[in-house]
Amino acid sequence: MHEFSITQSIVDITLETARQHGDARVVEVQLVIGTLTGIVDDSLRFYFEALTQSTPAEGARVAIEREEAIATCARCGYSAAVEPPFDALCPQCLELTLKVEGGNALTVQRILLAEDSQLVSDPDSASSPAHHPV
Amino acid sequence: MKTVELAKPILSRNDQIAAANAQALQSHGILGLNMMASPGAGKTRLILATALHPGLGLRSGVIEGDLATRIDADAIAAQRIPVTQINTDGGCHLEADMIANALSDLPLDEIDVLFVENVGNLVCPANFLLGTNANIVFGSAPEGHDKPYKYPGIYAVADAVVLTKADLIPHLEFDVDAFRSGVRLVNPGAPVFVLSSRTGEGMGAWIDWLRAQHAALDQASNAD
Repeated sequence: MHEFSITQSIVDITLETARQHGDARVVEVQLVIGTLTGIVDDSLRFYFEALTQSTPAEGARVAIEREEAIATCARCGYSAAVEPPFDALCPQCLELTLKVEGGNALTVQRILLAEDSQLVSDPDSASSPAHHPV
Repeated sequence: MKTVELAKPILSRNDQIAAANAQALQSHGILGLNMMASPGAGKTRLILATALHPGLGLRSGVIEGDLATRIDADAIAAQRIPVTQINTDGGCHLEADMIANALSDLPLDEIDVLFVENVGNLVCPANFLLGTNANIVFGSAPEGHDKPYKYPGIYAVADAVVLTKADLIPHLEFDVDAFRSGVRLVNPGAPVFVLSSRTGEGMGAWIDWLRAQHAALDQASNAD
């Protein structure tokens, strides 16, 4: 469903980052995605593959770390990761006191770039010739 | 291998446009509301009942969002309320750039409260900021009281929750307390308004809340 629009944004961020590093080949994109966002990993990867054809990000791995929604009881301090459907009943003190927070993260955490394409402006390789991948 | 640390929100471009929309609304003293619910929950009906309510005392404007047709926009235009229709042609939610375009079709100087009726959907709209001041999430009595439990993502981002079609509750097995508990579970602070657009029951509290939200806007901008 809306994985397309979100994946488009991920690809834009990824390619912009690759551009800033001389169109370096993208090895891996690491995402943090909350369990309440409704995003399906497989759909996201499907669109990512389609949208990165013939770009420096073609073939890149997409690693998805899930940010959990946490239910906490203000009464007894019980805390645990939860998935919908939610239950307000605290399993520890047996009162309807659970409150849920988190699970809404939607972040590109880090991008891993290959270092086989060096660029003139890269401070680690000032003496290497510029390399422009096809 | 080179590691580039970003911690960048995926929707940052959408959020930037949303911030620009918020700025545009604020400069005109407009309270923007993002109305989100399942198809058929009664969003359009409530917008009409609210805009035409004698106690509102605010000028209304509407941005309608649907996959197709002008059905909702026409119903609102028939009441001589400024309205513009967005057709997403298959898109399941509104995004900030669509709102930015729609704002240029409205007489912003003649509007105090802007109702943005999002596409009928309890999943996707939750992720996309539009630049509105408040998210209003609807449940309707015929849908059942378990929806806040099943769709926590959208109920968690609500600034207020409206339960519509309350006049049908006597004919249904709808448990209002269970509904309220479900909302509290992911959103302890959101007020819940139980009302019927058709009979008018419960509309008073909803209208009062809207007026208070608009008044708070005036205070905030005067404080700048």
